[in-house]
Amino acid sequence: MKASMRYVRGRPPVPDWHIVRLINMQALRGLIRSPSIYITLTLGLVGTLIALRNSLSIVNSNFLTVLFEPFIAPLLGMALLGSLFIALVASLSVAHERELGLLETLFYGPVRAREYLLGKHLAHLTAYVGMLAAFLMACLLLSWLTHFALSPLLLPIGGLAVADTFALIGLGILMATLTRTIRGTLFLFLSFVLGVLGIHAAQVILTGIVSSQSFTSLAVLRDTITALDRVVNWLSPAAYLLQGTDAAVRGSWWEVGWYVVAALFYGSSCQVLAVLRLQHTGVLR
Amino acid sequence: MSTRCEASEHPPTVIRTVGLTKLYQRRTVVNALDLDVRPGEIYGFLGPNGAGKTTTIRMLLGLMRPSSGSIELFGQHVGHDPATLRRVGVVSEQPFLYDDMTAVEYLLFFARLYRVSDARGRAAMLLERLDLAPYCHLLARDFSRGMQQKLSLARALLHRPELLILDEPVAGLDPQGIVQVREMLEEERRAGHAVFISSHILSEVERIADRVGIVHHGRLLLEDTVEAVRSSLSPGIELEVELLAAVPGLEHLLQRIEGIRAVTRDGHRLAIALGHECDLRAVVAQAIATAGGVVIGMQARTASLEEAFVTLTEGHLESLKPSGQP
Repeated sequence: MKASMRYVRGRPPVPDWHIVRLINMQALRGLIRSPSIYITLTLGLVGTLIALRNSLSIVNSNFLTVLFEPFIAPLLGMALLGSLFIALVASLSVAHERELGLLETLFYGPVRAREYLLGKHLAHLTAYVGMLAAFLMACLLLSWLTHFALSPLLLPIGGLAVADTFALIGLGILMATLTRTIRGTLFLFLSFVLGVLGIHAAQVILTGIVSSQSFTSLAVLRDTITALDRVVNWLSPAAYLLQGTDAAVRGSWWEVGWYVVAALFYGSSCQVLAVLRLQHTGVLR
Repeated sequence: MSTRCEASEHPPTVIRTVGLTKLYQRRTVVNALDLDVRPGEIYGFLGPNGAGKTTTIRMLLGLMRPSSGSIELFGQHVGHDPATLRRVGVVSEQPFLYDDMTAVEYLLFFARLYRVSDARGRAAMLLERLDLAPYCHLLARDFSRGMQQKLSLARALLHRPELLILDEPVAGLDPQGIVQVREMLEEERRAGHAVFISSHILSEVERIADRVGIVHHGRLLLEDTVEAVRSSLSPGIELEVELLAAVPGLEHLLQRIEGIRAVTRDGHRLAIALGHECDLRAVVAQAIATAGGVVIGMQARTASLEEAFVTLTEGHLESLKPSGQP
């Protein structure tokens, strides 16, 4: 006799928001209790202080009265650092709970893959928003202390960073469902980040060399790496943030909107794929 | 498709599996398992390590897909109705706990997941009942293995499930904890709830189970009441007789008595194997006295579930061996 039932525990089609909220609260509480989030925020603020000190030196040494957007670079740095950190924590959290067997205990009852992963996703996004808000508050204080003007661009760039992080958390969670272990998840995540950075660095270096000297083989390599870099720009949510920021500085708001929509679509797609993957493989260790 | 199509043809069951089979890389882990667990009964699901007990439980809970066969919980196919799983409480072999939660936080989290009304009161009552109340604000990861097991049981009972599925529930418990768990399971039975215990600690199952199923190599070898399993698998009653002093030729004399199958001697002690339903104590005492012996102790002993289990599983192993092999 063939198995007469579907074992994909995917019903009802709408997530149970009560369970999503509980998973979200539990994950958020774990994040707030962890020191790593405060360490990341502190690192971001230290970086900002160094950047502002350099800006003040430039102002003093060059007798400048106007400095273009001194807070945008620190915000971008903090947004990227926080984004990568929170996505890594999200993926490790899912992998850790699976490895510990906690997913098994949750799934004995009313929790389903979509509720669990959505709860995790939203918890980490909320933590990121909190971290970014704390950073912007610190920027406000530093602006008052240094008399550097706060740009109105900070808010749309912050929004773009949140959309970007939504995508990156989705990607991290998808990676956690692709492997069954913390080690595997960490390896996959770091490989992705280093791969993206490596390709981009190679593209920048090769462009510099080949533009000054015309080696044919290097030119071919440059073209290949450039094409790869374009593809990676679509695969890497961090690229959306950098390109969206560039568009915001240029005042191209439709382009900014496009990057926000693309990041949200990216994150949602990763979330759906992660749910399907978890339903397919099951939650067992 | 109606999932209740067979409900009218059979008495109500809490768990029903028909031809449940699981294959792992061509190896049959669970083989055509037919189970029926009724409301208000404690069912002992017994088997040696690797018999397929945990795999069966995981399939019952929809965490694993069977290769073939069907599973119904409360007359519903597993996986079709998420509300069905809210009626089940589960204690797994290992108590999986959150690192950063205290015992009370852990219970409240699960109580809210199951939408338990008066979550705090229910959690406090269960912690009190299982002697965990003094430790309720300690991190669960710091608990001993036995305390973690009790906390898992409290979690499983929070939402007053109609079916409790327990995988090795007394592993790591001290004798007092075992008694507490036993009492709580008996309460569940009195409340009309079904309890499905998978274990290889047979002495405990023997005390509380109404029926047992013995599974080996994924196959259900026997399913009956504890008493029936014992009597069907044990060769009979054994009389243990202690003598003041050894009597030469006594074994020969006793073996001539009808109903006695075998007599073995170990110093001043005799072990006399009787057939079923034979009470030959008076006859044996008389024969010993006639031979000049003095009985200082006599005890009739029936085989335990453990012995029946060993007889059955070893016998099954023998039957699996190809002929000609030692």
